[in-house]
Amino acid sequence: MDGVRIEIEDLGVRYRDVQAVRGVSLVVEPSEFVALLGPSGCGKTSLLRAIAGFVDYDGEIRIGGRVVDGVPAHRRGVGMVFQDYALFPHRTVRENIGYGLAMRRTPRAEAVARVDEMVRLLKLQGLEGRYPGQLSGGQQQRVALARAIAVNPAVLLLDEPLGALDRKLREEMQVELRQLQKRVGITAVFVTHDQEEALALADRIAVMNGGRIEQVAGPVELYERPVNRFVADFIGRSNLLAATVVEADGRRAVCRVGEADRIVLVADGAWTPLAPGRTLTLAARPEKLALALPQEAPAGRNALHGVIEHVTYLGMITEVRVRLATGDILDVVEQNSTADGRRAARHVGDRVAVHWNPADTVVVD
Amino acid sequence: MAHRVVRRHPVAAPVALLVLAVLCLPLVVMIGASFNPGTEQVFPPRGLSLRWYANILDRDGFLRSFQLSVALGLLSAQVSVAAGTLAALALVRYRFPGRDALLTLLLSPLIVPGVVIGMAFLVSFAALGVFRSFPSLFVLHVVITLPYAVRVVVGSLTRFKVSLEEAARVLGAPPWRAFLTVTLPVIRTGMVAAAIFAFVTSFDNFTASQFLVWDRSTLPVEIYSYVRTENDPTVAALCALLVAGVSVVVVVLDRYVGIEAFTGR
Repeated sequence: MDGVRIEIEDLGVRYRDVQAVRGVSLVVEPSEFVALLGPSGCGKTSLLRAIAGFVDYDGEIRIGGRVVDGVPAHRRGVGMVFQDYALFPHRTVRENIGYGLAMRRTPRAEAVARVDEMVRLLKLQGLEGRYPGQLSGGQQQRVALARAIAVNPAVLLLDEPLGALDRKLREEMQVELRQLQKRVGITAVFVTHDQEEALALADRIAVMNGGRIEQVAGPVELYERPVNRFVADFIGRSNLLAATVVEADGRRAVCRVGEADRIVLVADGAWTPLAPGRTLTLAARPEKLALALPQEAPAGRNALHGVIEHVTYLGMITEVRVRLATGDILDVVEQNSTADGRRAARHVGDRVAVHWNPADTVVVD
Repeated sequence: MAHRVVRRHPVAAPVALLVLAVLCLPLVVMIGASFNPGTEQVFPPRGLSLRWYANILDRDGFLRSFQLSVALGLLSAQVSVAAGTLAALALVRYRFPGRDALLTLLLSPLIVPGVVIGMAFLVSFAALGVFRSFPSLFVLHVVITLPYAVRVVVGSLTRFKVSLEEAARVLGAPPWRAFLTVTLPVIRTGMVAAAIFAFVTSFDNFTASQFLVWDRSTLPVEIYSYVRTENDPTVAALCALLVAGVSVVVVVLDRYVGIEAFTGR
């Protein structure tokens, strides 16, 4: 089955005195799995509920090319998995899965065959006659999925689908959910506040904050090239540095950090020349940074000098906190031993050079 | 549920037994007295006779008033649960001006004394020229039982997860069908409990009802007027039958509905 495209244009959701979603535009490609990621209150659930048809909104939503504004939830042809699963407690597993088919007046034999197919697909054999109260969390989750996709919806919406499961089960279900979505080929949008879950599951992630989408990108791009300070900080960890442009041309820029240190920025895809004198916020991931003795940083790399303030040994890695002369803090993550051998021990108070590849610096502000 | 170690105080059991005895003893005395062969109501009974049970049937006033009370109870329970469910939906699901006032109004029959309600209805129906027991008592009992229905159903609806209805709707059910196939079955236990509260409240009502017995009287009013003029164990026998009837109903309900629905979990 081929998925359909979801197009959202300039969407706004307003509750009485709160503007939950403002001016959001997003295209979800056929069969794509997109995550809406953000802190609580960022508008991600409101956006999902707008697609489902549960809240009033401004703007336009098209599902498979059809404008669905004003179409009530029961005629939108979407499937949805709720955070609390919302299984009907008075109906058996079989009746839960078959509910949508019954509402569509599917002929009996066809409905039975379809429910059987769903039971097999989600490995629910033997549980057909049970009531939701008699199932484990993982089983309830699978019934909710089976019920949602039994009616062959155009798109699948998932609201924190794994939020109620414990960690181990959640990781198992992530894999299962991902494989299921690819196998069925359905276009899916899911809401989560868990960045690992978003990175693990989604083809693309829309990071939301304050009712807006900050960035939409694949997991690698989102992590390596955050477009602003919020994304850099929300996804993984980032060292943020204030810098002033000294000189710049079409390919590279030299920036001053503090009084003495100079670092270089190099062009990535979208490079707009930076005017000298402009102040920037730069971001660099802790694991992209390395340590060397003062003045011994390898040539061609950006280097800043400082003093080790704190060392945390964590087995596989060591986290080293370095305070620069400017007062800025840089966190550096080092592998403890590599195939080549062990590296030198780090001590609080040592003077060090923190160095990194100029290409690993991102301008976020 | 986790097991808790309950250490019992040595006085706990005797106190519990005492309370139970105080609750049950009057019933035991009454049931015993109903078997007296003579007109005196003594306990233990001086012999065993079903004479006063037969006397209930000889006086068709009891039978007729029992029928009226049952009919009133069933009808007013159904109407007040239906109306109460709709009111509860509005109160739980929506925020609107006058919501608090409506809630207070619906619950006010719990606070206003029965004498006042009865008198108000008497005057009103007289002004309207209605001098028949059934229609006026029916309206009165709906008003009196409505607070119970509203309160119990509001409780059920507050516990009801709205996501269940939303799930039904994305699966293709129009709102009314989602309500009928999901919401209603889930809150059914609460509605049954509400209906039973309403029935008992109606069946039991004396204070307000006594103002509106024109052509026929309800069982409590009939019993009261009998006791005022006669002094024999007929009423004791009648009450013994009611106790037996209630016991059967409680056992049946416990089996099919679960008594937790009434104790409020």
